[in-house]
Amino acid sequence: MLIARCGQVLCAVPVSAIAEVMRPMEMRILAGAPSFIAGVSVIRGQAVPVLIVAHLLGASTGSPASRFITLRVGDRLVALGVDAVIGFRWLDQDDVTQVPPLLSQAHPELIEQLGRLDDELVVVLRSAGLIADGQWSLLAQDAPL
Amino acid sequence: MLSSWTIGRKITAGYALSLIVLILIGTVSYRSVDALIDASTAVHQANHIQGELAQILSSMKDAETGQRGFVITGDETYLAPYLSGREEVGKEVGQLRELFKGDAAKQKQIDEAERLIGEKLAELKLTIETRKASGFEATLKIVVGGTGKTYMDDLRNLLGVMDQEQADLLGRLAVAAEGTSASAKNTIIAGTIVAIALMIVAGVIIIRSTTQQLGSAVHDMESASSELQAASQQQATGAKEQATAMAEIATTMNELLATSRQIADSAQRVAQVAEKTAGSARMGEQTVGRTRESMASIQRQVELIVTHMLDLGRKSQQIGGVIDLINELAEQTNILAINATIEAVGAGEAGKRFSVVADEIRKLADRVGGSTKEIRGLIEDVRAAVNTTVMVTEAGSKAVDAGSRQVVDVAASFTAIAGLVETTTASAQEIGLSTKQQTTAVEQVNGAITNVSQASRESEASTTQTLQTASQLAQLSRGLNRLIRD
Repeated sequence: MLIARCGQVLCAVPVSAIAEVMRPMEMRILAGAPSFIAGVSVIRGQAVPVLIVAHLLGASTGSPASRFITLRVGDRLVALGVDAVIGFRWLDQDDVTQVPPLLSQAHPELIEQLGRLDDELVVVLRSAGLIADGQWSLLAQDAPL
Repeated sequence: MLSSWTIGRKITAGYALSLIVLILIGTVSYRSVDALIDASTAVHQANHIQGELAQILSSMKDAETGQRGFVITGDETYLAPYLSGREEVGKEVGQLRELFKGDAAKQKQIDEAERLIGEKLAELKLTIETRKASGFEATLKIVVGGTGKTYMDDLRNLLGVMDQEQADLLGRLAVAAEGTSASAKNTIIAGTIVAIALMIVAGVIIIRSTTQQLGSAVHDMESASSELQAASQQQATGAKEQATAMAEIATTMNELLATSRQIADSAQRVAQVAEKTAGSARMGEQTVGRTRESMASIQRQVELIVTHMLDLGRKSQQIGGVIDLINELAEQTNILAINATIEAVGAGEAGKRFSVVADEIRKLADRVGGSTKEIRGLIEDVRAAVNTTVMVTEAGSKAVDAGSRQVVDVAASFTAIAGLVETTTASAQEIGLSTKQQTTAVEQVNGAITNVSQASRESEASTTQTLQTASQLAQLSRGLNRLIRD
């Protein structure tokens, strides 16, 4: 798992879903895009929606994202904006749990599991299903490129 | 008009009027006396002429008497009257001619008388000669012939005419002298009466007006004397007060003299202190000069420090640039290592060892990044310290600059103090000198005040005497007023 700092919490992303880690690219805001999409950046010649995880988790510290982590979602890419990339960790099954039922409605498309790492909360992000298919077509339609 | 005349003028006018009248009387009297003297002279001359005429006739009678006696007696002793008469008659005719000198008519009468005297004397001589020579008879014939008698009668008539003329002249002279004396007497009496009347009138007028004027003057003098008395009294009081004030002034002047001497001593001490202060000010000025040089040296050192610090800041900035580059490289390496790790994981078992290497590289890159952050922090600290040092140094430089300016001001102040102290010294010396002069002047004034005080006392005494004199004058005025009014 790739561990990244997302505001006040740690996020964990499966390495297998990661396409690339890079510096943040120029981002443009799309009118009519879903509220959880911060904007769209052109990465490797492709319009990629950018999600600022800290904003989505409500744990933002206000500082801009210092790294983009691009995820492969099918044949498309999604960029996650994080504050910092901490490193790679292997999370044991003991360290992670399923999302409690009480929190199941809180970003079910984003949070897959919750865990802890060195006594700190780790949110294991869901790589697939972050953006619905209908929304992808809307993004393709509104994309500047 | 008369009231406006002065007393002297009035008296002079009175005297002048009287003098005029007296001159008139005198003139008239003189003329009358002169006329009387002339008349008297004429009378005397007429009497003298009558006497001379009588003498001539008498001498001729004596000569005739002597001739007769000799003729009758033939005794020559009877010829003595003849001889003396013949001798005298010549002198008397000469005197008569002298008395009628300048009167041609009388001279002709005298010529005629002299001819008749000559003829008669010749007849007498002839008869005497005849008596001597021829005797009585022959002589008698000559006498009887009557020639001699005719001569004698003619002579007697001529002398009688001349005597009558003198008698007429005496009569006229007596009438004229009487008229002249009566006129002189009348003139003297009338003039004396007029003069007395004029003098009485003038005297009354002069006395009246003089009394009036003198009364007024005495009244004025009386009031003036009263005023003078009052003024003298006030003056006496003022003189007493002045004497008291002069005594007080003398005491004050003595105190002032003592104070002036103290001031002179103080001024001398001030001058000495000012001279010492001037020396200290000059030393202070030299010290400030050295301080100014030290401050300039400090300022140069501070400017050098600032230059070095700014250089250090620039160097730190350059180090920061290098650190940025290293940080950039470390970040890039970090990203590359992460991506390499991702790729290695994606490669499965074959990439496992590579992923370990990549992860180590990433860790190294992280450490480099952390170190660069620390270095950046240290550089920021250094830059902040440099900035702080520069600011502090600049503040120090400004402080040194301000200090230098203050030192310059202090130097100027010391120069001004030195100048002022010199001025103070000169002023103190002048004050001392002036105070000594003032002391001398005060001593002189003190002496003068003593004299003035003495003079005030004398003035007081004089004023008292003046007061007494004014009182006496007032009494005299009142007495004089009584004399005039009464």
